[in-house]
Amino acid sequence: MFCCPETIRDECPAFKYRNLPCWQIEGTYCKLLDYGQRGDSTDICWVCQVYKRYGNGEPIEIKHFGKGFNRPEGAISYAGRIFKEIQEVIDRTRGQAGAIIPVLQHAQRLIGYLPAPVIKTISRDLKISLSEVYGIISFYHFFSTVPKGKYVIQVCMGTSCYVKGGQRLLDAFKKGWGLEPGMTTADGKFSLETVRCLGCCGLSPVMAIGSDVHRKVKASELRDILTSYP
Amino acid sequence: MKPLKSVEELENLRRRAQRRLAEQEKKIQVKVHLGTCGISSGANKVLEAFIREVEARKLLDVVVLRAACIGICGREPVVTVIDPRNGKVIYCELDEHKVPQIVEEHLVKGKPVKEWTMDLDEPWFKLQEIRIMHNQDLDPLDIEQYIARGGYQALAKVLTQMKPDEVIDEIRKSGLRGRGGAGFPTARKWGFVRSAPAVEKYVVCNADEGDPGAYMNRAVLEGNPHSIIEGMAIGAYAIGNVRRGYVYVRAEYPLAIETLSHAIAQAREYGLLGKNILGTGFEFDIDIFPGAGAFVCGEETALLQSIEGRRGNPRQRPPFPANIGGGLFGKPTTINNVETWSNIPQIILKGADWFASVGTEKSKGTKTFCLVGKVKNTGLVEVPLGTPLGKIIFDIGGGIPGGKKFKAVQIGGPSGGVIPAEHLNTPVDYEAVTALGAIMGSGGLVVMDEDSCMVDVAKYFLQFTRDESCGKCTPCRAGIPKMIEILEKISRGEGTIEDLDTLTELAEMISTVSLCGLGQTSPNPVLTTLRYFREEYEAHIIDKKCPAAVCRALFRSPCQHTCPVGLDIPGYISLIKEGRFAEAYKLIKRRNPFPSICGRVCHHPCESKCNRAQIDEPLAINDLKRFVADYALEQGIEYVPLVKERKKERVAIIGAGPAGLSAAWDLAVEGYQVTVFEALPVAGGMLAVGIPEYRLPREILRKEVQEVEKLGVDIRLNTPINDIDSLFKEGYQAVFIAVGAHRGVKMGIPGEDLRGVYDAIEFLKEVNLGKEIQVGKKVAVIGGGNSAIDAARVALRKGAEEVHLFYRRERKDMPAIAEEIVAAEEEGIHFHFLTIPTKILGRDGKVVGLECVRMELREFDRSGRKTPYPIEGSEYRVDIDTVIEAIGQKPDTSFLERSGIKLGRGGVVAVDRRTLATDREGVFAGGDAVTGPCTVIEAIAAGQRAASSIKRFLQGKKLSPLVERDSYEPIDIPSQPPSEEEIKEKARVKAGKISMSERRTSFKEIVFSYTPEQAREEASRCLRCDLEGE
Repeated sequence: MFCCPETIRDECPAFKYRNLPCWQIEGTYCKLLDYGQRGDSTDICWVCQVYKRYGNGEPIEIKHFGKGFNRPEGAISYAGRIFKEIQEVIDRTRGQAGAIIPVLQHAQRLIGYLPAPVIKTISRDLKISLSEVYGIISFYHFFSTVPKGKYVIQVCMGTSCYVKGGQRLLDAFKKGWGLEPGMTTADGKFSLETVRCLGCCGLSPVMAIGSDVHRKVKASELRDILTSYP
Repeated sequence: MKPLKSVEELENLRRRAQRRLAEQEKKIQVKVHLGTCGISSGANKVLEAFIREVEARKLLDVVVLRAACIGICGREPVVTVIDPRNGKVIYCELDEHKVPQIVEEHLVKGKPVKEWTMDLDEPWFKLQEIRIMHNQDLDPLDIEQYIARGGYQALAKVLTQMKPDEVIDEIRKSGLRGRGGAGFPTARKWGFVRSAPAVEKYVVCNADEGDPGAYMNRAVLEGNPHSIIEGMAIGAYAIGNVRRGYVYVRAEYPLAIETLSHAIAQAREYGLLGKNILGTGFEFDIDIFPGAGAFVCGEETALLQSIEGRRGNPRQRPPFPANIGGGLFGKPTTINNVETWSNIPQIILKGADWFASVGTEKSKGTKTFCLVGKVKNTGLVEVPLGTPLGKIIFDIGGGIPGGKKFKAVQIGGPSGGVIPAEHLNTPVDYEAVTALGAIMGSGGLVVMDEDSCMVDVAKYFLQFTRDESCGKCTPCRAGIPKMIEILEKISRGEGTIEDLDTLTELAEMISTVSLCGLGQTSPNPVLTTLRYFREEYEAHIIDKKCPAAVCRALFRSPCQHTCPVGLDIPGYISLIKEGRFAEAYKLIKRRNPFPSICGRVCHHPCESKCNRAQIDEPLAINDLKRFVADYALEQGIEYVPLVKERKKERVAIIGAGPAGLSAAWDLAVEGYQVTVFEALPVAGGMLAVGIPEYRLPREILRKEVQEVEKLGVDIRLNTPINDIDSLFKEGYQAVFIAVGAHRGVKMGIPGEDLRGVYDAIEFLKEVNLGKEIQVGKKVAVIGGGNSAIDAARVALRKGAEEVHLFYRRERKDMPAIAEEIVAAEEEGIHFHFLTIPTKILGRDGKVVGLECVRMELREFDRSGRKTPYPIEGSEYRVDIDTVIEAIGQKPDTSFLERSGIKLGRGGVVAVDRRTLATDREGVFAGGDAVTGPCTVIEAIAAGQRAASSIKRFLQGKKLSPLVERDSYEPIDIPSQPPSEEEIKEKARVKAGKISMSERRTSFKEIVFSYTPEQAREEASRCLRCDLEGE
């Protein structure tokens, strides 16, 4: 299923009630993210990968109510907290020209990706058209509109790493884990990406996992490296 | 810390900080270098270990400090220890476990642990000129250390003592050019912005550094961030009306962003950024803008777009950023590279003349280069502009590891180009590099060796620029994918020669019409690889071969692809693994008729491409082949190919060497009547008279030659041919010239006619033919190739007490097979390098000594080796009674003088490289007679190629560049990939050898064959690369 960060999964009813189709559950995290919603708006489901894959085209409607968590009054959910923080960033930078990119970066860092409701909010508050925002997001490699795995593996494909066998690492990932760049493992733990030069060329081939930089990586070491991540 | 309010306060702070630093220098300083590479190698753990140890042992005279990276990237983690007794000592490749010993022996007892230190006299240190990198040993998080070293003095100077125009003048005098790649004179750019009529202007630092292979900006951002801040402040003052600056740092550099942010915050805290700096009323502040992963944002207008919160599409120029309407938010802006900014404070402080004291006329100053790729010492180096490329790669960089050959160096990232060996003497400056078709770029130097395919490299860079293209203009957006299409076609073996013309045309169009630098320079990799490596493209197109064995679609396994004969190596190795030796023998023999010979003397190019080398060592392919052949001989297993229906045409082959005999084999199988004419009394060519018996026993050679005769080939010994026409008159329809290269090249020094001076080939021939030959007690052999080594080892066995080999270059430059050189060293032959003889001294007509001179290596020649020059006054004399000259061989083609056949330089026969046809109809030539002295397997391959051409000729067909082979009856080859167990690290199986005393005194074969168990064990190491991709 979806590879949302653990803290989200702790709160989201879709995770708690995995046997039910998530688009039919009221108050799932994705629906809550929609600005000011109570959790019964299914706009996001129509474009969601999970529905597209498992929904079989059936009509989307909420069938399971009241399965949301019981939250003490006044407490903000994790989703709400995220929203509040993004709002603060927007307020801080609203006057600045060019604020859109730092705001998007901040949001991406918080959530791990940029879900549609977040993008809509940013577009609305910064008064930049949605098409322009999407234009920016699709231009820069760093932004992602799909969730990534818990750990993002970046295999460097800069010139030095390429010459020193970076391609072999990608081949090994394909052979051993069935992973190609852009894909995430089925258990949501690892996503694979290529990156063009991390700037550690003296130690090629280089691979980054999260903020750890691994150097002089041999294909035979991959299994040990990956298992060291819990 | 309260902000500094005046220059006096800054000065006081500097003195205080200097005193502190001086106090620190009285102690033992341990500086742990913490750049990104260091940290990824465990430098933080090393730091903690030092802190722990020093604390635990209460060493009050030791101070452990954080420092930035000093560029010794390949050997991280690096630690510098400075103590009053030993001075500066640099440790490399440390880990936390080594720390206690260093603390104990060096810090406490005062003796550095030599085995872990670097030699500060080695070229890596001595040839660098450290200017930009001079603060890398400080802690970047402590502004006071920067101030102690003179930091912000330059800013104070310009604010109080110089007018803005004077600042620009000083920069102009220095000759500083933009270090981002284009090399535009910095003062001129600033001048444009200064003269633009606007009240709001900007300075921007381009720290996007997207070039793969370049990270020098990162080192400065992480190590010397204040130099950038100070530089930008000075620039802001010089230009005027600048109150804000931006640093655009790429997102892939988190540590750099963090360090720079910290530095900016500290600068603000100390009042060096913000309003009323140092009480002068000057206002300036800096913001960091992180990138988001787009290479094109390194292009200045795209960068500005990005800061303005837009897609990074470059803008049309004019208006230029320096003008109104063209800069950030429409205001005049200067965008300069990190290194450019970092140079500014030092130019102001030390003066333009100091800066311009190094460099070339048009390219002043130093430059940092990232030396990476296939080079021994990788890292960040700083040298004066104008330093020759070869010096950086070979002297500082240590050359190519693994005994591989240098192929090209890629400079300038995806906008740059490749530079081959013939241009290694090029001084690295803006003009010279551009003249070669590349660009300096930010200074990334990626070294490539024989295992890199230039077609693949061009494709790689184009894939990069295609992914990073912003898409705005058509030539780039649509043109680059088209170029990739063509390159992919070529890599698949489907290319045509016309494709190369299309490629060039496209490339030139794209570079002329594209909107921005990315598009304009994107074709450079294609244009430079085509310019310098056209034969490699042609090999892909015409021969369907990738010489570097990289383009996967063209081959099944790299070993087979590299073998000149194309032997199915994984095939027979897998049969050996299963114990099916007879079938293995058959598989080899039907493609290479001389497995016993090749298994002993081949120079095994296959092993140099064996993928197993990435795990442990390459497969011992030679030994395996030899085992199979010897086993077959022992067991009486024979392979006799089916000879086709007898044809009436007759073919004459001149020379019964490997080329002649393999051509004879193939033609005989086709049914033609073949006669081989051999001038010597024995068949085999160099195999019989050149290669000594201890490498190739006579019996083995005789047996494999006999098998050629069994096919009906008539080998006529003692029959030299003087006249080609007579052969045609006798009724032969085609002639193959395979006379080899047996004539020794003379040195041309006085004394060559003395008794006791031999030519190596003559010498070896006499010994091999069993003639008596006098060898003295002290023998000198001159040369460095296989014949020199053979002659030296034979002389030893013939009773010489001492054998000395003299070679004009260094050991690593010797063309002889590596194992042969090692064997000669083991047998006690003395090697003298960088020396040549100038005179042979004689008495009574006999050799008594040799006068030699020492050589020094200077500039590179076209082959990428340094040229030796005699050192004046370094002559010396050795006592010698025998001299064997082995400096080279030429073919003896004097018999072709009146035949009308064209000869090339050195007397080689001129032929079409692929069909082996001479310019006379029906006459073909191949082997050493065409290439000059080469190898056995290449001669065999030439023989097969000639046979294929002769066959077509006799059938009246047009000649083809490809070698035609019939398909063989299939042998069922095992298709089991290796198991997990078999992939684990395991050394090569070593065959047994005879004792050293036996070696030096007899001609007995030295290496034993594998036993069947050894063979199967070694065969199980094969990775079966041929099974992948099926």
